[in-house]
Amino acid sequence: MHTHDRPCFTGKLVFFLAGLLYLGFAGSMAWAQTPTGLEIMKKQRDLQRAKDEEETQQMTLVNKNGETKQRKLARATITGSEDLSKILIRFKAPRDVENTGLLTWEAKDGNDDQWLYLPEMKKTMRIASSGKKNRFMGTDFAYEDLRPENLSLHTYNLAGSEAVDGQDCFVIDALPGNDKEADESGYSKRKLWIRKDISYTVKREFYDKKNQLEKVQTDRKLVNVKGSIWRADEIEMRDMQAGSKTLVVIETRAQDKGLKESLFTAAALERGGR
Amino acid sequence: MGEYRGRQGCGGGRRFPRGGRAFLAAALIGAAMLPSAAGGQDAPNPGLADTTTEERAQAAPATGEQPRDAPSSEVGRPPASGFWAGMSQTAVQLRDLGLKGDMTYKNFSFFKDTPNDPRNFGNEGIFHLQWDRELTEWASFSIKGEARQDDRRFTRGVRTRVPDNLLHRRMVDLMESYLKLTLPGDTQLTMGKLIYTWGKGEFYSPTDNMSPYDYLDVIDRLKEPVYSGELSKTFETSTGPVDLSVIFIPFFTPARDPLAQSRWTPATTFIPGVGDSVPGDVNAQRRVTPGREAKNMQYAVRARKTIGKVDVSVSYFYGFEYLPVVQKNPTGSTTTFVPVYRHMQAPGIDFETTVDKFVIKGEAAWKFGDRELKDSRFQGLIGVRYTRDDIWTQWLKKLTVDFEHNRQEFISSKNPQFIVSGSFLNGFRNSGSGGIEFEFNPDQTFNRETKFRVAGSVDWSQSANYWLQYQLTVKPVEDYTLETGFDVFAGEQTTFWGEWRNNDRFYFKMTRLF
Repeated sequence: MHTHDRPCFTGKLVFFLAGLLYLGFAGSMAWAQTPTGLEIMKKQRDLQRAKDEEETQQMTLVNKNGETKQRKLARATITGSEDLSKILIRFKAPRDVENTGLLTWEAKDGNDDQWLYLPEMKKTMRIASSGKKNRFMGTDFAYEDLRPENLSLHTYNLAGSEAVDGQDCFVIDALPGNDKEADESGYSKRKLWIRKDISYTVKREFYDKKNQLEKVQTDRKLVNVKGSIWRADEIEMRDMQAGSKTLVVIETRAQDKGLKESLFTAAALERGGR
Repeated sequence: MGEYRGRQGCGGGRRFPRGGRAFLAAALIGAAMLPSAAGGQDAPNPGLADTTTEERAQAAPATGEQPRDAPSSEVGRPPASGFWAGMSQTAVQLRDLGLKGDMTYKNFSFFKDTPNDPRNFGNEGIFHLQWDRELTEWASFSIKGEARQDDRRFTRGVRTRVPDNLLHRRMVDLMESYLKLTLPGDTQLTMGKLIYTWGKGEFYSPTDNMSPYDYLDVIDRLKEPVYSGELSKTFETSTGPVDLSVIFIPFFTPARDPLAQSRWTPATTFIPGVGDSVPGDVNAQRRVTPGREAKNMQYAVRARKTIGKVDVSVSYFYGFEYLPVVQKNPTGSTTTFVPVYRHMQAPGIDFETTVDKFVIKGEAAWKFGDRELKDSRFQGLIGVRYTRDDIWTQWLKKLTVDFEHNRQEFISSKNPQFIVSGSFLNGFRNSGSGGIEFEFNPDQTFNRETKFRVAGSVDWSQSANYWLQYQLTVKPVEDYTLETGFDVFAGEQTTFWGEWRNNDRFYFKMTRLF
């Protein structure tokens, strides 16, 4: 019996150790497969960040009656210290806003600095930061939709996984992270679909203060512009409540050209408008 | 006085454009701009519209979505025909050539006669054409021309002059036009006829000394601040954290003062505290402008930097004030008045910052007269602008309230031989100025703003006198703007604004961009 018991004990020990190993491995696998919402967002930020970026956009606005309007703008972004961006937008069309420039310096606390250049007046004036919830140039995008994601102002909860156009995505619920953000934002919640393979947000749902679905943004025609950086050549923002939509087509784009910070000043805003 | 009237008489009827013809020209420009059901709609560039549709069609399979909306240039756009189709087509063709411009028609209806100008109605037609071209990656130019006509006797002749010290506007003139060179090291050199607008003031800026204004219609200049550029060179560079501008202006260009036979020219200008009444038309008749000499060249430099959340700039101007002061020359029993332009050195400073929804700004200049007229002045302003664009109603898009307090002090004693008269900024130099503007957007999608603004200025230096303006701006469709409103002046006859109390008026302005 003893001789019979010994192997049995050894087998149990091996089985126990193997079980521990399996549990440990499985646990670590499970952790690796289910990072937190914030970790997913940080990874996305790290992979998709460019030092500087320039693009020209053609916007088509379609109202609920099917009438269309065109907007055209050039946009340059530079990311500096503390991951804060400076964004310069120069309107190319329509004619009544042509050469109007908007410069934004992102601030950590959300109180961005903004300057507006008015070609008719030939003056640059500092403006009180636009209400985040306001629509940008009559489009379906709010100002807050166009800002880089500020991870310190939101909380991110992983809500699960879902496929979008056959691509496996994390689904993240993004909520205002403090009372100030909750008050200033036009949304009670945003739902983000982030592709697992390339860490790029391909779809966003925006919920209004009554928690009703307000808008849906879809990014299409993804292109790998450099290294881990992906961008969409076509973006659609559809207002589900108003029945309108805005289609953005990227006409030209460049990354990491070595843009200088001196191009993102009020004086440069004026010079470029001349 | 007799001298001045004599010079006025020299003009005669022949010198002025015939009212009928001028009105016809102005009205034709106005008629050409009228939006129609066809031409009034915003026309998307057909090429871009096609591209967008094609892109959408390509995108549909990738997303599994049908291109059901398929917006196109035809949607919401009734077919254009006849004259309007021709106008729209012409605009598109001009854009294809790199040309752009605008057409403006203005009408002014005054409620009262004035001794100098009994006409109660005035019309202006203005046409601008601009050509911008990139020559190389580092060189580009821009040329902007103007053609205009009116029946207000403001415009005469076609021959321009450098420097432009003519009393009237030209029927054909070159506006801001320049060659721009981008040099290594964030540096830009711009040469040509340029317009400079320094300072932070909404109505008046003490540091804004370089580009002269057009005061033929004193109030209208507030909306169209500068009439023309100045022949000059600008060297702009970023030196480390500071943006630096250096400007060289070889010839002095004076502001255009109201004409002798204008309702903006009172019979006399009473100068409080001086005890003299200066003929109102003196500036238009006898002014002495600085000659084209090396010593009369003008220079300016400005350094700008954003420190924390505050924009700060420091400037220095060496040149002439573009509005004259009147030199009093007692000769025996008579006194003659000669407008002269005082030379000055003017260091200045301005700042602007935001605190929540408020923009706070300030500006100051110390103007030291350094030649024959040695009186020196401090001019400054402090202002605040409050903006709400996250308002509680859907139809009210934005609310803006602004206010500026302006102040002028003499640093050194006044020279009694010179009278600071006929200066169309005096009303702003010791004043409270401001406005409240409501921006409506009933169509949430297409930015068809309607604005209503009440603006005005109260002159503190004399007994209560003020100017108020009520203005409604409507953009029925993109590229068209309609403005209409009232100007109201109040105060005693001897006050700055009270002098113009017979100039209460209704105005209408229509602009089409192409």
